[in-house]
Amino acid sequence: MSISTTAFWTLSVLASGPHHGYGILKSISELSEETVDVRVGALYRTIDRLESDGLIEVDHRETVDGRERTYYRLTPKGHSELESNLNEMQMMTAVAETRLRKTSFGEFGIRPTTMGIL
Amino acid sequence: MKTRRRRALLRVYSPSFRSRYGDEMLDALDAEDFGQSRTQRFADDIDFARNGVAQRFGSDVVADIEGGMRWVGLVALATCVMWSTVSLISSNQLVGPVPINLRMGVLWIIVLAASIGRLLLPRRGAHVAWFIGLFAVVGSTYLGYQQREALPSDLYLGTPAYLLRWQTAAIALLLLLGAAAPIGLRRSSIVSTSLGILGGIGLAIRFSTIGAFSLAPRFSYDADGYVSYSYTAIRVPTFANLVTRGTFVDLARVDLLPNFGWWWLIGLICLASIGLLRPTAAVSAVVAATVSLGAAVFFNGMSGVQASLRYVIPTIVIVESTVILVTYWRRQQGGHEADSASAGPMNANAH
Repeated sequence: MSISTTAFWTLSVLASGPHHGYGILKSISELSEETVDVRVGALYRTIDRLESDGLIEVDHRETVDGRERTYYRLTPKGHSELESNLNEMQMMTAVAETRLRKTSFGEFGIRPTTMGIL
Repeated sequence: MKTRRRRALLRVYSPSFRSRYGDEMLDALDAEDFGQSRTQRFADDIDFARNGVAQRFGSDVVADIEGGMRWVGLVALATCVMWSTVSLISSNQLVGPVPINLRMGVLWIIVLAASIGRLLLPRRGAHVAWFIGLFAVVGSTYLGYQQREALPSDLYLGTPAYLLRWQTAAIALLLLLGAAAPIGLRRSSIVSTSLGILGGIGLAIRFSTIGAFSLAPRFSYDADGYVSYSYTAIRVPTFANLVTRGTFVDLARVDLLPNFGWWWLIGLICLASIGLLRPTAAVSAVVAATVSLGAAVFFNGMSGVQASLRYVIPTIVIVESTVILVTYWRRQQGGHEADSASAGPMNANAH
């Protein structure tokens, strides 16, 4: 089952331990070096979907400054889902890399550095 | 700080979702606000509401609405520019001072609608088109107040005004295609094709009734040429009425306001028909048909045009949309959900 970018990042963040919603948001931003912009609404929709699919579950709840936070953790199903997506992505990346190298170097036999000199 | 505005926006989400994540989402939005500009906060609010609609009705429905709005918005801008140009070069006497002012009012509404589309999908082209449209409307609004003498040559074949009226028809066709394109290119079915044909029949009825029930100009001449003209209602459709006057000339004349509504409606027919029985498309078609029906009654009453057959098309739209809704609900009950929430790999924010 292929998952969305937001779901992938959410599962990745939760793989390191329980996080609450906003914590996931901040972690995604940090881990992706701010290249992935996940909005609040989209994140909670993803959390809702992942929870109903059994990929994540509520770990615990705590109250900070009068505000309740729900922490989520990865389920075994979520763990294997993340792994399977990772394998799929690695396979896709390997195929793309091979094709790209073939086009850049194999077909023309010219390396970029050589092209720069020419 | 959970603002009243955001609490209102939260209501877009389904009740169960709201009760589960509502407070947390508002807290997260508040936290995100820190150091953000007002514009960014506004953009966040729009996105928040947009996600609410997606959560409630599905991401593909949001995509359809946005796609439709972009097309309709841009084509409406083109129509806006077109009609403004017609107003500039053709006589205001053809529509009279009151109708032309109303027409300008409608053009302003079009610009407003296009602006909303522009906000939703900001693109450089849309910005340029919007400003051109705005300029055209401002210019023609000003000139609309400058009463000018009418020349019957405006209606003669080959004159710029006549050619522009052809363009009006072409733009209307674009409106039709534009409304259908975002959804129509995605999926099709025998049912939607049949409904599209029904829309085409409606279009044919529209063409044939314009000539039959519209006002026609009658010109009087003296030795020096043009003197005056007046309007008479045509009751008996002829080939010339249907093809020439009915199809093209009337599009830019007295009954222009209902005309716009009609063309828009026909676009919506396609939108609803080809939208694979989408309930949202059907609901918007019903609303549009109802509004247009009211507008047609109002403006026809104002201009004194006897045009009862004009109600045929909104009736078709309403019936058709009802069929769409009923079919959709039956499919829902049968457990065959049409909407597929399939998101390809790495489809951001779709899951």
